[in-house]
Amino acid sequence: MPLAIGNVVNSLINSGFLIEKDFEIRLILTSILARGHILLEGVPGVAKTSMAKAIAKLLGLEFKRIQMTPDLLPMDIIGFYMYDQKIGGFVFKKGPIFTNILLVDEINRASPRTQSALLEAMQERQVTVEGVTYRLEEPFIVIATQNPIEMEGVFPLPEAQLDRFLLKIVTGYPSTKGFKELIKYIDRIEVGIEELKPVLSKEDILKAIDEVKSVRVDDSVIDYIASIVEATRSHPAVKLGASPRAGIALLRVARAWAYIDGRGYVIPDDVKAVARAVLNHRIILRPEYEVEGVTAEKVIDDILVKVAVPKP
Amino acid sequence: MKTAILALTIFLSMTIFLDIYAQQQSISRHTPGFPYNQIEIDKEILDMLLNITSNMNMSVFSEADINELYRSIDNISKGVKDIDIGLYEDLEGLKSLINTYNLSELEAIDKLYKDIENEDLRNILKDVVSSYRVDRYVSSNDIENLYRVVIEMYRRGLLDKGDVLKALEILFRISNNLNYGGLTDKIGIERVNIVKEIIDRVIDFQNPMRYSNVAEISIGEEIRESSVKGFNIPLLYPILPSLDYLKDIAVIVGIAMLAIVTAISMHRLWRYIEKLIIRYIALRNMSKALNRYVDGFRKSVVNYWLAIEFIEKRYGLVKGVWMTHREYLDRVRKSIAGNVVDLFSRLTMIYEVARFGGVEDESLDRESEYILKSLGEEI
Repeated sequence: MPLAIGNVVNSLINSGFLIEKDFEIRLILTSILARGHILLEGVPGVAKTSMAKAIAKLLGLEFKRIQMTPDLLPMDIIGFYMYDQKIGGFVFKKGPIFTNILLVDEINRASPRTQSALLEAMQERQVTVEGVTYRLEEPFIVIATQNPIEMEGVFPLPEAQLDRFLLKIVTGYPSTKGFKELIKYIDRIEVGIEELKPVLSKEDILKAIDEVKSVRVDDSVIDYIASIVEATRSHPAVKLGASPRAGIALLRVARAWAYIDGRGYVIPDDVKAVARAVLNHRIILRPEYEVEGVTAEKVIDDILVKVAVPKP
Repeated sequence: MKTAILALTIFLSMTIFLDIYAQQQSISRHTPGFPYNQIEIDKEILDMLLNITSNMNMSVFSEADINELYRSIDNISKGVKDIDIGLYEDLEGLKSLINTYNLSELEAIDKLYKDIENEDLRNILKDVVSSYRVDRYVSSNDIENLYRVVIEMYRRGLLDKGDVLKALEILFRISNNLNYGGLTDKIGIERVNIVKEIIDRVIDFQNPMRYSNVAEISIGEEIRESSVKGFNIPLLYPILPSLDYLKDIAVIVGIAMLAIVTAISMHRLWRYIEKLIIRYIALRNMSKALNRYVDGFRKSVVNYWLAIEFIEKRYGLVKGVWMTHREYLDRVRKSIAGNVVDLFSRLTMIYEVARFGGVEDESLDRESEYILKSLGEEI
């Protein structure tokens, strides 16, 4: 199965539809296999939606998109009961959350109430309406995007809710070369993404998710993960370090990363590769350091070049 | 390598520098106020020398005077011998000339002829000297032609002043005895000019003033500061004997080659010693220390860390504590080329599988042993 997942990655990279997004693609797939949700941070127009759509198509998964606005209600996402004249009773009208991959555009524009409802559904993987519980179909992945620049009319996600996202992927502009390529082939890219054919089935994905759990993690790697997480708590620039949930997330993502790489075991390189994406939204910096331009990414990089890897 | 190039550059620079200032010895240097450390030259001696060479009126000078002149020139010659070899040779020629003033005409011509060092010049003069010796007719044209040949050779730098003086003296004496008045004067003037040139060089040797200006100052007396124009730089280093230019190049090239060969040999010797140290001393100690540390781990894991010690000691590529095995392999790939990288790459993969993959395979242990041994040989 790792070979098949590898095919998805290669198909997307080689198709040339997602220019300079290799790392992001791998991370999104990793998150799907680790059953985690993704917070995609980036300015508008950096292929966030295209990425989510292309991956959903290749994996043969259902894909839906919600554009968050301040007046959006929880029922608009989850669903609601409406009266059906034919049957003479109320029927449940499922909201867009009933899908495999849900792209929530500009999550920070939704009201805190709507955000909470969504995040609860993400965590529980089920929704309860009028006392009836509906399980969400597996795999269920939310890819939420947010614009880091805008401050007006937005409701930033609280730290506790941020922690529910397995990964935060910060995506930026392409290089000049990539940008020129994008402009040149934009028509072909748009058509190409629409015409992508599934490489895997939903069942394959579920099987792969199961297989990821059996990826071996040596005790020394667990020690390494613990050291990294604990180092975030003692770093001078950090006000609030990573939680135990962050450590668990790091382990799960490293496992999936190793699986995608075709290995049945985790190595410290896997941990390092995903540490930024797993930890950067789980660390709160001291304001005095933030003012000086210190970012969570810089702190994580600093930690990664200090924490000792397993020896021997 | 960089150090070797630096050392070689310094060495060549020093050699060239020394050589350059060895060439500077003929430049007269003096700072007013500093005493002259030169040979004392008596004006009367030089005047006498000019008079002798200007005319043949030997009766003016006694034998004692001639001897005194000879001794004086001899003293000057000895004084400049180690400093100005050109001037020394000129003065030796002058001595030969003075030596003949106490001899009879034929003896003098004979002696002068034998003292000529240049064989070509001797051959040119041979017929005229032989003819004159046996009273055969020697025409003024023959003498004049010879005179022109001698002067031409001198101008082309084929003759030194000593030989020219001797040849001109021979032609002067023959021409004078055969009463070729105009020709005799012509040769005499040229001979005096050459003597004057030698005197000029002697004066130059003592101070920077030209002999043509000597009339205005008193030769042989200490020159007062006020009479010296300009400012001369004193020699700050010992004057080294001048070397021939081609010899210099040959010596420099030779020494440079020797230095390169020595550097290469030393480098190879050090590589050999280093290899022995790593193989027999460092490895044994590391192995002991590591075995204590990795007790309980598979042989392939132990061998991987031994290989790292190898590479760290040999190539100075230290594995940071934070560096993963794959990151270290990348570093090794970027820094080293060849078989060592291939072997280490394979060992890294074996380590990864054994250490993190939990694979317990005897064949991997054996392969790691083989790789470690091969690495030892490669290093």
